[in-house]
Amino acid sequence: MLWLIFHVGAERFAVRSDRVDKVLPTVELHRTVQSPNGLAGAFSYHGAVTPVIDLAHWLQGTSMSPRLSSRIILIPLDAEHSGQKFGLLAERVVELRPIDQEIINGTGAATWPGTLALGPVIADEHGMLQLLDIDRLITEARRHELLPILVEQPV
Amino acid sequence: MNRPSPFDAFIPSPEDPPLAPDFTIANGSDLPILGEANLTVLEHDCWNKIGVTGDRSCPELLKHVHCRNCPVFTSAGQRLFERDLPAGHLAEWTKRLAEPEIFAERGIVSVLIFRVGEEWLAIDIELLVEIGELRPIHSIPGRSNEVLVGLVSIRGELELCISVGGLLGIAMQYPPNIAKSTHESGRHRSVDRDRITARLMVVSRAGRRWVFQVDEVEGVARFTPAELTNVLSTVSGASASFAKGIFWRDERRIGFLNEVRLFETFERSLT
Repeated sequence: MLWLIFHVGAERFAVRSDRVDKVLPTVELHRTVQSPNGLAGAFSYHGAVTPVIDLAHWLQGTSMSPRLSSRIILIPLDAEHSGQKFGLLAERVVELRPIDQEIINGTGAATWPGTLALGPVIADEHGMLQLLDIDRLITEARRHELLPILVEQPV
Repeated sequence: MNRPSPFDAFIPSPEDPPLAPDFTIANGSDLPILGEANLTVLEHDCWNKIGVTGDRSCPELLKHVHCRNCPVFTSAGQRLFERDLPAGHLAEWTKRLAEPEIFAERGIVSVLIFRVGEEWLAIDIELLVEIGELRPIHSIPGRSNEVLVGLVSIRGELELCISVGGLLGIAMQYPPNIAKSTHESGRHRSVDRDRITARLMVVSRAGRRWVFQVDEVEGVARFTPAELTNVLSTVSGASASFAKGIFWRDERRIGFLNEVRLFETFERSLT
């Protein structure tokens, strides 16, 4: 499986490429009143109001200032790529590479159980890499009210 | 002279005037980002000093062969993207992404438009291998006819050369083998070769390559299936039967050639 590698602050993350719809440049984000921690805001993606999650703010309490390398990784809420999508703020989204399933399942990976276990962490030649489990991320984002209430929101 | 490096555009040299502030960076999309270059990120342009565009004394060159393979060069490129956003960048993308999505129309055909005599014709661009200068065509004794002109050397390979004019019954402006005649007339050319618009087109279908001479090559055009209309009865017989249809460009009628029929006839000219 190919994984899309990106940076959030100093940390490195990866998402499965088949769960990624598009990588967009950064845009101006609308912030709602009393936005929960981790919600960077929302923007109009061809008319659809699309929330954007700031992982740095959510997980680390820091926020990223937009750079030329800043991107929004657009991820559909369902694996079938239909309907609502959400964005993840990311930097340096330049690498797409295969990660062996054996590494993810094997002793090279570590997963911390707990409320925000978003996926296993593996080590590679550049350091530590957190593999984001998108379904887990969506569940947690819902629980933390980062995703808006939508018409026909699947449970 | 030094060979150009992809970063040359970003590096001011003492002799050169400062860079224009509105250079563009391709950002992986079809839209350029306009903005002022932050040149301080590229202070250490070692590739211009000890690398391939410098004196090549860098020991790392032995390992990487070319600077473009070197992690130092890569990270310098990445630093370009670590700059602050240029003014207007956010607003422009916000506006663009909010606009309704435009889907490309289905079934668009890309064609190469060329001229044979007075007729403008087009073939599917996928058939085209290359367009070349005129070269002498060597006739095949006993085999050359109105359609099969002879053999022509393309990059050392002998290819069969066809006359589309002969095939379609169109009088060509530059008859085949004009290259040979101008070549043979030496310094006292009757035709100025530089002004000849005629070209050789190499086409390929199902592994078979053919060369044919055309009077002029215009370029690539795209049309939608809706633009293609049936051949009118006014189109002369032979070219009508070889056309899938016609479309209009700049008030010119262009015949879209049916490559299947065309290539079948090429084949038949051999027997």
